[in-house]
Amino acid sequence: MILTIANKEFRAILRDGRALYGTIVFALLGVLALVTGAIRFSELDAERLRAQEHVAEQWRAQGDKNPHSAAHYGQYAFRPALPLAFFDPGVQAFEGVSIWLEAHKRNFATGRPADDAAPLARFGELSLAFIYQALLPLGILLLAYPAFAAERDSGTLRQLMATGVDGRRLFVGKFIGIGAAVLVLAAPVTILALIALVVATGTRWLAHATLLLTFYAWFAAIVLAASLWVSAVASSARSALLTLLAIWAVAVFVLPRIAGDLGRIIAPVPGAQRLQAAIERDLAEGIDGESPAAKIEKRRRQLYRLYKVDDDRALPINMQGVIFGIQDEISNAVYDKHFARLQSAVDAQIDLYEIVSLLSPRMALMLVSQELSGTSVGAQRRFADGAERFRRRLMATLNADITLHSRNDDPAYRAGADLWRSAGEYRYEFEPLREALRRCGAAAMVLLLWTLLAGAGGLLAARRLGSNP
Amino acid sequence: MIGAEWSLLRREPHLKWGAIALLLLVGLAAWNGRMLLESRTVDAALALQESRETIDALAVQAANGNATATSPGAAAFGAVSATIVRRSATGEALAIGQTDLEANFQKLTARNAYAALAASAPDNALRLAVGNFDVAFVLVWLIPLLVIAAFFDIISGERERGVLALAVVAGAAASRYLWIKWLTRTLASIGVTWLAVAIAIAVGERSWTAETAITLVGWGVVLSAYVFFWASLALACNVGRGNSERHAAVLAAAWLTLVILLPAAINLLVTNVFPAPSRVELAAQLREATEAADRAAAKDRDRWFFDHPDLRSGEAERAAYYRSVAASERMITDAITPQLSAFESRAAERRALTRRLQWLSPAATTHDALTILSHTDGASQATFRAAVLIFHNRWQTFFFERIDGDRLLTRDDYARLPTFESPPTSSLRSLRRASTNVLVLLAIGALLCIYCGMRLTRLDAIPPQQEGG
Repeated sequence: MILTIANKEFRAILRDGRALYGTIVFALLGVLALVTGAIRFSELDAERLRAQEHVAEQWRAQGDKNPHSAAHYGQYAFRPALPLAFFDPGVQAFEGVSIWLEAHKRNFATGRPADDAAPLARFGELSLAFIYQALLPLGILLLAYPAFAAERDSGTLRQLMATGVDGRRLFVGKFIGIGAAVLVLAAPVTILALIALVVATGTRWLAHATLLLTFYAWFAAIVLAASLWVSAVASSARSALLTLLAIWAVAVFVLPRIAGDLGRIIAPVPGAQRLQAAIERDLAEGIDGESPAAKIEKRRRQLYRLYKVDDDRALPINMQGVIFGIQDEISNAVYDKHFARLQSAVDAQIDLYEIVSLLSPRMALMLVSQELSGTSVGAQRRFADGAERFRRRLMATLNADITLHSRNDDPAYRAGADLWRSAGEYRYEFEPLREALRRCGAAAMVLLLWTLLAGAGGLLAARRLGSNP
Repeated sequence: MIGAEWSLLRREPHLKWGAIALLLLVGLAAWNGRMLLESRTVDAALALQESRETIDALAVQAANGNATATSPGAAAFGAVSATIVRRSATGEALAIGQTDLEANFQKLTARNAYAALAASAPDNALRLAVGNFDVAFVLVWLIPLLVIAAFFDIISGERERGVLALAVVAGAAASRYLWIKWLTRTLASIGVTWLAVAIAIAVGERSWTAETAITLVGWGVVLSAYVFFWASLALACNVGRGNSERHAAVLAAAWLTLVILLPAAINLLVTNVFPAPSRVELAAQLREATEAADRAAAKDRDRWFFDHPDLRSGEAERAAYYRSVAASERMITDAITPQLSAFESRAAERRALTRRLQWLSPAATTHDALTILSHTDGASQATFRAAVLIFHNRWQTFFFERIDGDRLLTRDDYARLPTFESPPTSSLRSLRRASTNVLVLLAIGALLCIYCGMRLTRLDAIPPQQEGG
């Protein structure tokens, strides 16, 4: 019985001219987004690889100089473009693309692509993720709204129920039939995207992509079940359509914006001015009750005792290298404190976003999609934290060289290519899939709750069809 | 007849609740915009106050002969910064546009301009990516939905209920009846829009001035033209054959196309026709310029461990060090200025092309007009950036003249420091700029009305499905 109903729904949709037009529009938009996304990804990838190599070459070829001059010269870390960014660009446009790794300071990433965006950029980006998150649900609800409501309007539902059909079986049959049609309609663009990914990068990202598609299919199933639920309880097809369109507009476009700004109001991110002032204050005064000058003096006395001397010039090591090391220890602790505060404010905002996603599964899917595409806030943080770890290792190497290989008050000291080579160059390491998945827990829970709600609500409404068709 | 139609309209609960929901969202969005603006204003005022206090304190210290306060180099590259604040304009809280991406205040030093302009306030990229919940968003995106809900069955509904056939049989002119119905609903929608704008300004603005009144009128006129367009489009859809459901689906597709897809497609086109110069390459070029400048000063700079003149003593040493820093900064500025100009000219090209293409989307046309009226459009931001660059040049010149001339700073010099004036805004001028957008919206609406007028003369009063029977 279920399969018969499913088959009837499936065939009816495929025969409907509107579904065909919808598929053509969906496919055209999908191909447009795919092509432009792929071109953008390949250009960015090549550009960043070139820049990273260029900077590494500059570092190696900087010539002989004092290691502290080299520390200020520093290196640049360029954020890599991950292949699935062509599917979901996520927050990439709103995060800086490069970080200057220099002595004493942890810099923010600079060069946000959004700063150069065209005036209409904030209307939305035509990416595959946007099409699947916003337009696919619209297509689903347009297919599903008449499922029960139109049959009720025309009187066929009453006839059907009079034959003793179980409403729940009817619900499941329609769900399978419309769901199969949606899969067929969305298949061309999806398969094309997968082929493009495999051709460009081999099978390296196939697991990510498969998981991503699974989440999108899960989301589509939720939307379909919810649409059928509304169709089952609506007084007419017109009412079902208007209700679903209103829910779609609010859930897809309005709630994400409200959640974002609500987060800003409840957990504001410290402003640049306040953050900088707090960092400068802590750098000057220290954060553990001991001033930087006192720390340096304490270390100096320890070294005097160790080497049994009473003057910097008598030390077998360069005290200035030690001082740079202490300054870096202090600044690292200060930056850790303030970056942690900044990140916890952002985390609180994202937590709130996850809570509001209880009202909109699209928001939960958006978070999962960005994580699996490597374009989330978490992925950017991983890049920045990795760059910072490298910066600290780099500075420690350069300070150690000054300490061990030069003498106090010896500005003529020069290090060369050997040191630059041994200090190394920044290289990004891709994040394992399981780490990205770990950040998807809350969003996956929201999708699970929506599955239970839409499924149970739909089946309950369908069961009541028998008593009140 | 208008009175009768008005009383019928008031009895439609979904429209009443839709209008109430819209007004509530507008109030919420205005409050949100005001909160954002106030927090930015408080931060800017704090920064300005702190900057003034620092300059006053340094002026006193300079009078007392303090070495740091009298050293133009120490002041230029560390102790003194100019806090430049973007003056908030009337209506800014209502259309945030891209302004949340740019800090409303910056701290400039005499270092190169890129260091000042590349700095962006740390923020939650997810929030920036989903966009602002501002009044412009609510009205541009959601007003059409309310209009569609009020108009989608303006003719087909009457036909399906048999009212139209009855009217024709009774000898009434169907077209006159429908025009009055359309006019009543259009006026009611415009009334709701003006009420929404009044609420937005009452909640979002801190005070009522002549500028506020001009902004209110401007927003009201622009949005009235926007409502007129949507009402005309809904009527044009209705004069064709088809039932109410079909009209609802077609109008929903029109909303999707004109409000979401076309602006996104225009953005995509503009971005591809005029791609922004690469920020990644800019970072690499800046690094090359820095390296070239450092190489030129390498011999001198290593004497001070690059940027630690404090490790050596003597006024002559310090003055020489800062002369070398000023020379480096000048070289970097000269090298990087053409690149920064390329960003600005490309941004101007993008704005120009977007303005030409935006006429394809009434939503983009309306949003552009609203940002113009609120002084948050791209041109206003470019004017501000240009003013910042001019000021930065004055600031740098002030200090470099004293560094190069080896002239110590005096108390009077601190009083003569250049001050920044935010470019003035004029609501009346903005109103004139936005008038083209209004005329375009009215012209499209009028053309649709003419088309409807021609079609209404040969209108079918009987629903299509009944004709065959």
